[in-house]
Amino acid sequence: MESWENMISFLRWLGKLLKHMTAEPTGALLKPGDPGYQEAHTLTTNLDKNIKIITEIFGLSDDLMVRGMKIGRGKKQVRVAVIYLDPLINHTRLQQGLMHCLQTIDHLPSMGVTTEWLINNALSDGRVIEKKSFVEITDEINRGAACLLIEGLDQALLIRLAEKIGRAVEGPVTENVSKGAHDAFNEDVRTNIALLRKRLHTTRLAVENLQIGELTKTEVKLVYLKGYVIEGLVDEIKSRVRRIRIDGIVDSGQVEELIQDSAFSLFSLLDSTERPDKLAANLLEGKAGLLFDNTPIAIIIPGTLINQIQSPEDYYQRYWFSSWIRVLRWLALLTALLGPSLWIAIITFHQELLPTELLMTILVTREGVPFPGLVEALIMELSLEVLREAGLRLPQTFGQTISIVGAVVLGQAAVSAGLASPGMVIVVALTAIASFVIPTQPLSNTIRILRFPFMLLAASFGLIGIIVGFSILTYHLCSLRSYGIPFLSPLAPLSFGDLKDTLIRAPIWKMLFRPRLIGYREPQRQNPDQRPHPPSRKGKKFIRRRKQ
Amino acid sequence: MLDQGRISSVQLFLLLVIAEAATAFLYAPSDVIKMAGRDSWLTSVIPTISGLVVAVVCIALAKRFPQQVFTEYLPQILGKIPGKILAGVYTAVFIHLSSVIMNQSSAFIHVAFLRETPLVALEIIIGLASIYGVYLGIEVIARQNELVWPVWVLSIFIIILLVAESINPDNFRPFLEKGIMPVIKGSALFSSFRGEVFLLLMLYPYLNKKEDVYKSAVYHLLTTAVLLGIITAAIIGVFGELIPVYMVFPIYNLARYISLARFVERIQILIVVMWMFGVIVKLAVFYHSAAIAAANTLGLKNYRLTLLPILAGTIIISRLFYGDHLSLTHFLSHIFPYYGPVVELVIPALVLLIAVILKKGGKS
Amino acid sequence: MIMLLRKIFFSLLVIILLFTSGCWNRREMDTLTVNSALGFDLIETNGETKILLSVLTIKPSQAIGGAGDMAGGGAGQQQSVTGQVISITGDTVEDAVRNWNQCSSRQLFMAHTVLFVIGESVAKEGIGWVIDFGTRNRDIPERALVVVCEGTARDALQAQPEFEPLLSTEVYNILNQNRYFTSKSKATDIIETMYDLLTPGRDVSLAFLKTFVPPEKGSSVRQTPQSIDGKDSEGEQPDHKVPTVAGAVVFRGEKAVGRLNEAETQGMLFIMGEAQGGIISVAFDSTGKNTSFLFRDVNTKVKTVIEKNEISFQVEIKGTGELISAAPGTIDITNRSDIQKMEHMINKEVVYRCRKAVNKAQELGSDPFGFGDKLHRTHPDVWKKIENHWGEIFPHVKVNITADFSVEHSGLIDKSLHIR
Repeated sequence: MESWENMISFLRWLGKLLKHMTAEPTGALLKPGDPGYQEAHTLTTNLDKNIKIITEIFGLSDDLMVRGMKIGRGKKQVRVAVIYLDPLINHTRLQQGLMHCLQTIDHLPSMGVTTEWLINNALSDGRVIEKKSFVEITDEINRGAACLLIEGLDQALLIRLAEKIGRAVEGPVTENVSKGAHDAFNEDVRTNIALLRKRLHTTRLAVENLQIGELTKTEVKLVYLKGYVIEGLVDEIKSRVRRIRIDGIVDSGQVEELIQDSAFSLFSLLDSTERPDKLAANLLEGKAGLLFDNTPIAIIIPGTLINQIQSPEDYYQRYWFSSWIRVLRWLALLTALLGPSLWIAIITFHQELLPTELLMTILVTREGVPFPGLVEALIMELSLEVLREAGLRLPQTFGQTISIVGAVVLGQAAVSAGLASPGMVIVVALTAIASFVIPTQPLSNTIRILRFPFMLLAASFGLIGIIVGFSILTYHLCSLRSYGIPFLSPLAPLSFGDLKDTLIRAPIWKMLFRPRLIGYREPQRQNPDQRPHPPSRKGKKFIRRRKQ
Repeated sequence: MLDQGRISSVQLFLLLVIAEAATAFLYAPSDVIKMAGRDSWLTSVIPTISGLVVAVVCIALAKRFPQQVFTEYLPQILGKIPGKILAGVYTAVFIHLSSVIMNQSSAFIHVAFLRETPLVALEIIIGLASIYGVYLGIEVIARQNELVWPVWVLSIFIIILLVAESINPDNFRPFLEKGIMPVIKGSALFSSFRGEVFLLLMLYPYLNKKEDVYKSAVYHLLTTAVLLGIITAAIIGVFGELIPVYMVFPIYNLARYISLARFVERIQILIVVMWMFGVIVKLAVFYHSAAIAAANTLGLKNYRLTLLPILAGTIIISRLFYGDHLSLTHFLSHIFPYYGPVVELVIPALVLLIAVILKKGGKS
Repeated sequence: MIMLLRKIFFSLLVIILLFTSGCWNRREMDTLTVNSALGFDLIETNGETKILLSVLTIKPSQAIGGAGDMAGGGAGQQQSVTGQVISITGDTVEDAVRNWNQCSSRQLFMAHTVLFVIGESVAKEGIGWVIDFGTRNRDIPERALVVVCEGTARDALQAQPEFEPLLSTEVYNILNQNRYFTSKSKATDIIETMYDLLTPGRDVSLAFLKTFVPPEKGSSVRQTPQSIDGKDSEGEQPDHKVPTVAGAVVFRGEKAVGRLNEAETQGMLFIMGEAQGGIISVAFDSTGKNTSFLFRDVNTKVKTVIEKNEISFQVEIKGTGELISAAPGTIDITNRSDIQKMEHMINKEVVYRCRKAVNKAQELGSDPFGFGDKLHRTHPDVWKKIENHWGEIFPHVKVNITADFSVEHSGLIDKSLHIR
């Protein structure tokens, strides 16, 4: 009983802690709508006071630049100030688009300077907006805008002059293809949107702005195709994203955990990709995507298991080859999941299933191995996992060393030292290779974890244990939904027409319809009867005429 | 309705087939061949008709209360107390049938596969897997079944294909040597297995398109008849009518007997895979019905609460009453042929009659 | 939160259950002795008849030949898996199997049994219990072949295989290929034996395993295994017995009643339609059997003829084949009359062999051909009347045999050689 109370008090403390962590920092700026907001937090007509408040808000920031100047000629000169964060600004553009323009203003209007006049007559840079409140102004400055304050006006002009910081568009890191586009998303959300727009030249592509993080204020773009996207999906995503109250996020993976269904599931219910072509293709099916600033990984909503074991390349290669690869991938998936456990089950429970010659070989090679099958498998699997993690974190130059150490020490030496049998080494190696075939990282990781419970089940009930475990796994998978779409669709619930793009890939001209559950708003994809065929008689005549 | 799930007519059809064939394909042939000899493959024909009768009665009853399950509307038809009592009886029936299935499932594994593993342990893990499915709802069970089906059909297909060359047509002659009576007797035995279509009483409300229910039922009856007929015929074709009489699981022996080019051998594992996958779904369907019935009887709002007690109950019944092979086969071949029709046909028919007379429920 | 804790607690319980169960049915590879053949004998000890079970086990530890390092040894070393025969007694077979564990640290694992060797003593007393054991035990594969041996099974199992590492696999392969090469012995597996035992109007016939000391001393094959390594082959001359299959043993009920020799067995296989390849030698022109015919694609039809309460069987054998050898100056295949003559002689020979088989079987009062079964299948009404005394009727049943073979090819040359 006491432990229960302890537990409950611990939970309360935990709750308080969480509340504390997510609470608004005291003394922060008031939000729009709060009482007293209007008076305290909008610009005044006094330039000096405005500058003072802004510099106070930024505090001791060394990189905040305040540059005062006068525009106009003669007596009617007006004092202005340009405020910006030095590292964020593209200086050339600042010079050409703002400073130069301001300095070359000849005469000011008789009515007095207005922001409208400035925009229309003075500023050459296009991305100019007007703001009144300090919150918005500082926010824009934080994002790389230059703020133009004018004496006597309680409005500021914000010119977005942010320097593009970060990488250029490079190739994908985790989702490599040999045939297909080689560009990938990078850390700049604008670039990412551009990459997407480049592929979808349609007005139906909607890019909605969302924002997560009280401090980081990370820009999140919700992209989808209007009229094609699943009904209600956009609202659901928005409500789930808006519900997030957090100090900050730095990667899309954090958001994924916050907005996915079935929080305890081992499976990742949202797909993620760094390939614009994959995202574009998914949008075309009727899904939606989330792009994040500072993250090269986009999220595709809703996710399905099928989508996670497909590679974009499947669609770029000939359909029979892709079908073959997909069948292989399913086999690899099963091998990666069940390889060691099946081996354990067979060598410790069901020796009758082996051909006699193979049994003899295994008997001979297992002679002298001191551990039971399970322990042997666990040792090998665990060392492989460690090896894998080591290889992943090490600088690339060490990678070679690790693979040699792994191959020689763990493979050869373990066998000759009698710690493991050659059969087990083969199985473990095969499992590892098979798990590399799975094209997406989250699924691959899930399989890696799931392998261990299956090994335990196999060691206690043999094949029966594996089947029971598999049944439980499929029950779980069947129960999962990602934003209302069954995770296993179209396998279960079965939609027969969609199987053409699951275990195999049908030719493109056969994929007449979008997936039934996802693309039902605009079911048809293409014209029927697009299969290439010999020209009709009329066409032949035409060709003959052309030849003559 | 305590389970808010929705299933399609195809899912219902597949679910009904598994709920019947998953155990019948292993246990039924031996008993039927004992009765009907080499003409046993015929016995899958006549029970289809009796199955159809059961289906018609059950559907007629279910259509009067399209949004409720059997045990839910019983009190409305029969009055509160008798209705509850009958609902309780059906709860007991479902639990009992579940425990028989449970016993069959563990007995096969025990006899043919893992001899030293205690039956209780096997029953616990099989039961846990099944009630996990029930916990997730009928929708998930139906989807799981869609995944199990290909495995099932493919295994049967492979086995039949591989034994095809060993089939000796002479084994089917002389046709009807002892007249039609043995076939009818065997059919009577089969009928009780095939009457499991009465699960429609508990599954009908979940169907999303109610008008397709006849299609599901009829397809189900035909598919099961063809499946079981082919299996029985393959067994007789290979082993003759005398050997299977001695065998407990003839189809398992059949799979063991496969040897193609001395390379495709030892594929009895297919039977075990089929059996386990099938039984876990079949048990889930029965557990689901039992849990819903129990919750209705007890007036619970959440049927999931009853799952663990039901699991414990089935294991206890299975161990206490069917501890040895004899009591199981005695039940299957001597009690079930009478017990089955009563719960599958007679009681629902009486309830339907009362409902029609008292004009309870909507028009069927 | 409490729900979650409950879940965690529950799954912990399950995991504990799994772990504790770990040793129920596990049999690690190194606790097993795999056997390849089982021999059954009856022996008298202290006036009691007991079962002597001889087990041909595979010794895996010998396979690496004591080579210490596996890393280097695996590739080059020849894997010479050897067998070892161990006998145990018991009141029943299973008793004997369990008694095994009293003298061995390793469990007997019978799932790789390919051969049942039945000793003479058992064959004469009845093989029913052997078949019961073979079908009831869940480990033993149904495809294991059953043979009867000369003398005791224990001795027969100790014969030295010559081409395979194990006697059992050697005999298994010989029998399985026999049908297509010589058709002189019959491969019968456990299920087929059971089928013959149970089906009315059908008797069991099993292959006969003979062991003998080969006369060929110094031939490369028929030497002791050690000499392959080239160590000391001079001194040791082979005195090991080697196995061979010769004809068939026929049963009445479960008891063996006699043997058919090779030619008779071939006749029996012709009638049963199981002869699918073999040689028939005929004497063409000059004396002695000098021309060989290789038959193939044999098709047998057995018809039941009932005339005035008399049952007779019409056996029609049809087949094709080729001339495969001919002594000089005998047959000219380009000559139609020679072919016809040849075919006539082949037919006569086939009928003769079948006739001999039928006569022998009728003499022994055993019906391995399944004539009674055929009668049952085709004329159930007649069968019903005579069902119970088929054993008495069968020896007097008339069997008409006709054969129709045709010569299709003659190899790469046509005429037989004309020596000047």
